[in-house]
Amino acid sequence: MPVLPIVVALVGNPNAGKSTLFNALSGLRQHVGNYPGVTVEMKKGDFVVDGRRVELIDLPGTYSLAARSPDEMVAVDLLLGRQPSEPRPDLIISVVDASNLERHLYLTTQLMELGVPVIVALNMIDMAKSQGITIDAERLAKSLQVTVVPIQANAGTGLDSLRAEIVRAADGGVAPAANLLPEPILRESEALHGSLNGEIPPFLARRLLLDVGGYTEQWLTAKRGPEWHQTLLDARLRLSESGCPVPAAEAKARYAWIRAATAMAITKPAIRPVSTTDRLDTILTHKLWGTLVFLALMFVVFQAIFVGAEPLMGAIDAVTKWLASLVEGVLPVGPLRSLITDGVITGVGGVIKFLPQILLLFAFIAFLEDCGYMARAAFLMDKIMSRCGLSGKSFIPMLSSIACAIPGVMAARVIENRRDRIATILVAPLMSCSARLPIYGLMIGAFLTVGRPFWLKGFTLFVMYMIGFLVAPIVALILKRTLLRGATPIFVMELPTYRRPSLKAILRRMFDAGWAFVRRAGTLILASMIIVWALLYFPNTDENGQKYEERIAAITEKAEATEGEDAKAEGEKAVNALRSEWKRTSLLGRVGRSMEPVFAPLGWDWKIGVAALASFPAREVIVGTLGILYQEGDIDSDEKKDQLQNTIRDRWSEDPIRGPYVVPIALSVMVFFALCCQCASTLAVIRRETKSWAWPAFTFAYMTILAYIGAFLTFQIGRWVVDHLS
Amino acid sequence: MSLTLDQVLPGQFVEITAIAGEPGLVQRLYELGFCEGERIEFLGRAPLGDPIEIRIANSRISLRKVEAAGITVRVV
Repeated sequence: MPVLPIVVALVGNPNAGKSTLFNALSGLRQHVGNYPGVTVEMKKGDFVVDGRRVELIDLPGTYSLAARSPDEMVAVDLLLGRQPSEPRPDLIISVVDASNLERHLYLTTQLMELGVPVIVALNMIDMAKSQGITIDAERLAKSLQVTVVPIQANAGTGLDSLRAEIVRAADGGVAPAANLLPEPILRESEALHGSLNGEIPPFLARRLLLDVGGYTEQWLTAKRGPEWHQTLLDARLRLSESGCPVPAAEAKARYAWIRAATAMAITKPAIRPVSTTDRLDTILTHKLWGTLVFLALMFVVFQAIFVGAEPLMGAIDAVTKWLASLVEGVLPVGPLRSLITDGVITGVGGVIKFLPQILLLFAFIAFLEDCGYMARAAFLMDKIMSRCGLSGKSFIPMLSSIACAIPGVMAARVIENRRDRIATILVAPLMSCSARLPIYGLMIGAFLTVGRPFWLKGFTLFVMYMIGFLVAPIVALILKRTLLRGATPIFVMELPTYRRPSLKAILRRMFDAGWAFVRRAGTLILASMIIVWALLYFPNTDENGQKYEERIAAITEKAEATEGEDAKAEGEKAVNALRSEWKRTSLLGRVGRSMEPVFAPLGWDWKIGVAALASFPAREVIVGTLGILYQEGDIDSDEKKDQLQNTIRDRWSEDPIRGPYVVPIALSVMVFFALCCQCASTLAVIRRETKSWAWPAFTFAYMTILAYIGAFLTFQIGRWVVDHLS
Repeated sequence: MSLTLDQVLPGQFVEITAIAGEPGLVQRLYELGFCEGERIEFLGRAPLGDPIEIRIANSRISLRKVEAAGITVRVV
């Protein structure tokens, strides 16, 4: 009979060093486990000790097993063996911070009631020692009646003995649970357990009694009705009358027990020495200096994301073009070649292009989080963010979205409260990302540069960015008052001790974020790019049944055969005219022309409409599409972009109806792009992060409506101003 | 002198005498070591006066003033 693997769950407070221990134990053999209906992910890894395979599950950091939401309940269900897809753990490793032992043991005492063997991994013994705190592990083990292994996870100290203890404890059986709760609580929870006919295990019956408004209470009340709920309230009332009010009684009993158990094992200095964290925090959380450091840090981060990622993004673009030309050289003219070059290579390239920004942002986020600064940033920004119904934890995800909404949406994972997290995710795409720059540049260059005040360029760009900064908090506030209404989440948070982050951990976070992006968003954007390609490609024959590609090839060949620049330019012009006709008669072109009445109130003609429609998978596509539609060929050099700028300005100004209103039209296009969610990758990432299609659909719908209204108002007001004031 | 935690001045040491508030918040406070009789050092306030930063046992905790208002303390 094969020996089953030992299933081990890692549990601990946030900042107990749990993830470091997980990485140290399982090395590179890791994967992520997902659970239906919740956004929680748990990492799993495995390793071998003495020929026995050990499966390790890293549970989300928590202060207690008092679950209040479905997300928190996943961990409790898993520990109780109630998670259908997972085996019940054979062993729990309770990771505790030696420099803050009493508080961390609070969770340990709850874990000891689960009926599963528990090992205490006494982490950060070095840091405790530096603060003058020494812990006698043997004495502690004796009074807790569980195995205690002192470790320093980031240095790898003590891991061998921890591995050995895992095998020993898994075979050793369960230590009797310490009977530390007062008698009345035990009596009432037993009665409650009995009355539920075994529907929940004794441990959950205890949580049901002790957690006022907790998840088990919500779930059972919804299932059994208010009459049953009254029996629960009666039980709590009886507890209160017998001197054990919830939740105070549980906390008092646990801390009293912990104090007695640790009294002989810990020695602390009489006067707390001033630590590095204390010294750093006098500056970093200072009203003035803290704010200045924070602003400077944010500037460095975003400057680095913009500037640092640029060469890599350019290189990716170059590789994409090189690959496309390589394919063009090999494959004959036809749908397959067009699909591979214009659809697949350009599509994938368009996604991969954002990878450098994501990797850089996540390097910074991992660094700031691991060193302990992230909590300080949330502390500093909380008041401002609370004005729009969010908390300080939403600040960095929203600011990150200025570079790109995708890492911004992913960064929202640090927000524990589900409603706050979703509100942040839904407004993040409103922040002006770098992919909006090409269209801003084109419109500003064409209509707001020549013959205008020199400051107008920068001012218009500033206004475009401000639209995001102003609209996002307003939408967040509306969402928090309507769809995502609920009690204000608890803000109370620990400001962890500063530590030196490990390079390995940062690289791992970068890799995880990058891979998740490429794999999941990549598949969806690829699919949508192929659809847009097909809609712009078919039908690929003119009314005489002649293939456009063949006609283009014939003209090009003829132009190249003849000498002289004029003939070449003439040929290019003819090719561009043909391309434009092809796009006009394509499926998307037809849709665009039939939708002209929809675009008219925005001041747009069908060409702008088609370009905007084609940009829904990725907004940068608009510049290329406009280039094709305005017969300037593919836009791939600055010179050509200037040409396109001039062509658009000339064509728009020549138009008898729209001519006088070119500036309102340009502004209406920019406002539309500022507010619209034209990014399939963002929607795919929202789907991934919220585990639901409803939220990306909602984001897409509200932003499209907002963009239409915004562009409509811009054009109509602009037209009125032109008519009446000039 | 009895006051609530949000009224304490930076640098002051206080002792918790009572904890009240929404059950979820009270439970979280207990889990973080806020317990009747525990000592708190008031470290400071964020730039706009809210939230506040305190030390309890060996940890630094940040909480909003509305949350701190449920914690009754006396100066020691």
